[in-house]
Amino acid sequence: MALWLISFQNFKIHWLKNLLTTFGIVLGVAVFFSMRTANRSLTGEFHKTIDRIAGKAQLQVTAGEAGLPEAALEQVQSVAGVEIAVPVIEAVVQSQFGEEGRLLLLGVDFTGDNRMRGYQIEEDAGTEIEDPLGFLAQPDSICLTREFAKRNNLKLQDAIELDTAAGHKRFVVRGLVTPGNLASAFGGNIAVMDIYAAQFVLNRGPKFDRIDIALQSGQRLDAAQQHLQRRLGPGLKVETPDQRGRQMEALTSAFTVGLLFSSLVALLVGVFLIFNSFAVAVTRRRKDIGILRALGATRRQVQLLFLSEAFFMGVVGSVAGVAAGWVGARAVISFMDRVIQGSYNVSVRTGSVQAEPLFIGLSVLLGIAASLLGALIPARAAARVDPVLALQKGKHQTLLGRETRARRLIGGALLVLALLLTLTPWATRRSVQYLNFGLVFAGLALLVPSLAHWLSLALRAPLNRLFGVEGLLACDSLIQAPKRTSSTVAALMFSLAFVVSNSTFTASIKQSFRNWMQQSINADLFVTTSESLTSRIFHFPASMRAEIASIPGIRQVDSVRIINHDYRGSPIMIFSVEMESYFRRAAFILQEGDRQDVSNQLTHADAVLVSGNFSVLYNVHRGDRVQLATPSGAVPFKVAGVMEDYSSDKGTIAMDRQTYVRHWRDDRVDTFDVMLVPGAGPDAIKRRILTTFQDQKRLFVFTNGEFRSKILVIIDQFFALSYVQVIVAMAVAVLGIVNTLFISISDRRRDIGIIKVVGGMRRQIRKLILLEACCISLIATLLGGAGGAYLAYFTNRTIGLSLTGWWIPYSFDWITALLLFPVMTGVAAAAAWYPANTAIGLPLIDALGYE
Amino acid sequence: MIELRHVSKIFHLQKPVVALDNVNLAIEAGEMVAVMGSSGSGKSTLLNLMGGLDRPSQGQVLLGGHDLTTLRDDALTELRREKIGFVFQFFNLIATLTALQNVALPFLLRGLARGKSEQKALALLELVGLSGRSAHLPDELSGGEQQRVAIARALAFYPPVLLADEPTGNLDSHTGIEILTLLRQVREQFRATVVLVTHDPAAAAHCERVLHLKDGRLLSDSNRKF
Repeated sequence: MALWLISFQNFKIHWLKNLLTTFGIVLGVAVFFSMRTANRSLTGEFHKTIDRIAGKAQLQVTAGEAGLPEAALEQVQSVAGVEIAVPVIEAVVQSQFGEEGRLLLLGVDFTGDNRMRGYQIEEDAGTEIEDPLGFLAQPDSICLTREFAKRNNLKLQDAIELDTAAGHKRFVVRGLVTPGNLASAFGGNIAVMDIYAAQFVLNRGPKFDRIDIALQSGQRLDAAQQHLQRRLGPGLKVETPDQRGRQMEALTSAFTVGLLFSSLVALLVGVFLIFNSFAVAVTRRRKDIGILRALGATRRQVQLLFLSEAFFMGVVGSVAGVAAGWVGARAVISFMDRVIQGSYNVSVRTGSVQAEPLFIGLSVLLGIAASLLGALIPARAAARVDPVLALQKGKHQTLLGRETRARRLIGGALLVLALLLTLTPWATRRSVQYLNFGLVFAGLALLVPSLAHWLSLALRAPLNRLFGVEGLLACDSLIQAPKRTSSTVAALMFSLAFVVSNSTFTASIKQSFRNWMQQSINADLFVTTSESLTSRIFHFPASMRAEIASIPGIRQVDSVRIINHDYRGSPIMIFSVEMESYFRRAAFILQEGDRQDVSNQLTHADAVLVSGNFSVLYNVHRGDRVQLATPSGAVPFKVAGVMEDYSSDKGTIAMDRQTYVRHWRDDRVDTFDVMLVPGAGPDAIKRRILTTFQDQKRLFVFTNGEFRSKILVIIDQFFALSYVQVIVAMAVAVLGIVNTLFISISDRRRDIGIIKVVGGMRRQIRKLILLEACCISLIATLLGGAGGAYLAYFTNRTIGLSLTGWWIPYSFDWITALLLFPVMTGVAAAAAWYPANTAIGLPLIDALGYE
Repeated sequence: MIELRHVSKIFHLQKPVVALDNVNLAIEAGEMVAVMGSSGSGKSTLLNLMGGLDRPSQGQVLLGGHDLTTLRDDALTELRREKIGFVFQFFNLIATLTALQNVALPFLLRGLARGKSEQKALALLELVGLSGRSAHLPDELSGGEQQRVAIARALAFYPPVLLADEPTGNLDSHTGIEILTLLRQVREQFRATVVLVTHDPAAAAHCERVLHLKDGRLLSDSNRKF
């Protein structure tokens, strides 16, 4: 009880310092919680949408993006044990209502679909449509959910405009889906239309996206699934709705692992803030500790006093962090939604934050654990305080302990061990990577006081020359009391290392992408069905190639078809194009195989070219065979070569268009690569293409520069969330500087008082404090730059390689690293301004009497 | 040299506390004065007001003709630097600076080059008999040595006034005598005015004038009868 009273008084008196410290935990937990919650909300919503749309469907048959031939429906329906089998076409289309008007368009066969999904379509409120077949026979009919109609002031018979393969088309609302499972999917933004009308407006040809199956009662699901799979053959895939939902998680795994990794960094920075704060609090409260010990408090009780304060701060910080994270998650969800759609062509729409109580509990526990971890060493130091020395006035004015040689040696050894681990064959194992990451951080944390000390020594002379006595005193303060500032240096260093490694990793990827684009993406114009390069909702008919080629000024047109394809449970990319002409024009790098030989094999046999990352991820090399499940059966494609390619982080297989069309029975086109005759102006031809096809087709034409810029925008968007985390990490770091300076000033009130007594002017004291902050920042930036260079290498060579298979050439981001010096110095000076003015205003008498 | 006219100091705590009550006092140049009194009598407050470390609630404090109550913070700092040397009971050395650096601090703050400052500091350490300990940190020095360093620092600009607050309060009697002897030497060598706050009659015996304070009032002055 007595200990709690002491803690309570401490919180009351030093509320601002404690608040700043707690805020570090708030930020760390908030970032961790918001990132994970946003991710889980999106995947949860994706699963829910699949479940709600699936209705009674227990199994679903798909054939990848190429689609199922209509004949597959009869085949499925004829399998014993199948109660209902209905076809579905599904696509996310844009209506005229902007971002909120994105609709999940379902093409269904109304004659049987209602049995599967159990929804009702009303002609008017409460009046069910008597003849749905006749009602929907009109090709421009569409049904919306009552909720969507209400939100957008739409009534029956009103018109709604949707993007279709033939451009914007007008549909008439001829029915409203009553609220229920289906109507609540995709945030209520559901549109239902006849499946054959959907085939037409989406230019799907005689294909379905999938067939939903309900089994007869008494059928065992797994047995039925295996039976169906055997009957349908390897070209078609039979899955449960839940298995299909997991594909999104597999597709975005690199992105989400990256987010988890960086949000943990934010939390780690918070740990250092707590450590710093408690380390100084122990020094400040030595006398209290001495009194407590003299009154009979045991070492254990003293340790418990500090740990319980840390626990309390951890609880408050974590709960506030979860609350802030909840608010932040909303913004992150909409952002991630855009990134996932832009980068992976997966659309999810969720308006609500979904957090499991277990995860809320885990976040709070993590925050408390971080707080306790940060306070552990200072609490142990408090327990070891000698009561006799602590109670002797004046004895507090002693130097804080210097770092031991052992600590340096251990820190260095951990770094070397981490470096050696990256060179071992186990480096790509996830557990080894986390171990490596931990070793790097622990090693750097142990080395920071010594490194900061050495750098302060190196800075002493130049700062003295540049700034006179204030520079000297600022440096001396760091040299003589490394413990006071080393945790801030560490927190700031880790934040900046994170910034530098992130920017270096991004810069390396961008540089690699640029080089690759320069070599591989060299058409003059690109004709696509969507503004977003990754969207493949609409397709061009193959016949359009000849129409484009007939436009004067065009030398050659290649038809590109890209699909995601399930390969050993991972959604790889299949890229097909007329390889002969592609080989003539593109200067892509072959990592394995001879150019002429590869070209011959691709155009004359069932051969493929695999990307470098596919080769790494699946250990596939030239001469091997990769078996792909195509709609016409399983085909063992021969690997003709390995190429450098950055199209997909899951790996890419490239093949000749004829090979693709033959096996996938899909001759649709996503993009036409257009080469111009020498001298033809790309802009003029672009206009000509647009004029030729306007009002007939939904189409977009990009010049080479525009196309490449769009790819870079997607990459930027992909990394944008990590930039937000960088800002948060820096905010935590700035908080650390302010906190440290406040603490440092409290701790040095007497010193500041003495400087004033012996003639230090106000401006000199302000300068001294500002310089001290700038020194901390400068040292942290130097160490952060070096740490970031290593972390980027580590991320690139281990995490990046194991997640994506990309062996990205290392390209250190000097610009960001150098920019950090003026930026962080400015930030440090700004952060120190208020503490500096506080120092100036200290009453001399109080300052001199301070112990 | 120092003059206090109707000086009062009231601390506004939970209820007002009168630390000094209408004190009038004049100390001539070159005098060595002891201020005595029990704990809470106002002797340290008196010293702080003389040194411009604090401002009176009422009255005037004059030092070498300057009214300290009218000076702004920086002007007061400048005056302290030039005219007043302080010696404290707990030495008030900067723990992170060596003895030499502590003594050089006033010179450095005044803008003197580091080399020159350290040269002057070394001369002062020699004066107090500590040139051999110049590279030591305060924590590595004994109490008496720390107080010598503090005196050397107080003498940086050979100030005409030296204010010492319980300079022997934290030292054993033998070391205390050494410090008082040093203060007398300094006073004689530099013709400085020394004001010494103490509760120790033996320390006061080193001074030619003794002031007694009680409850913030000047109870007696050995120079005059009340």
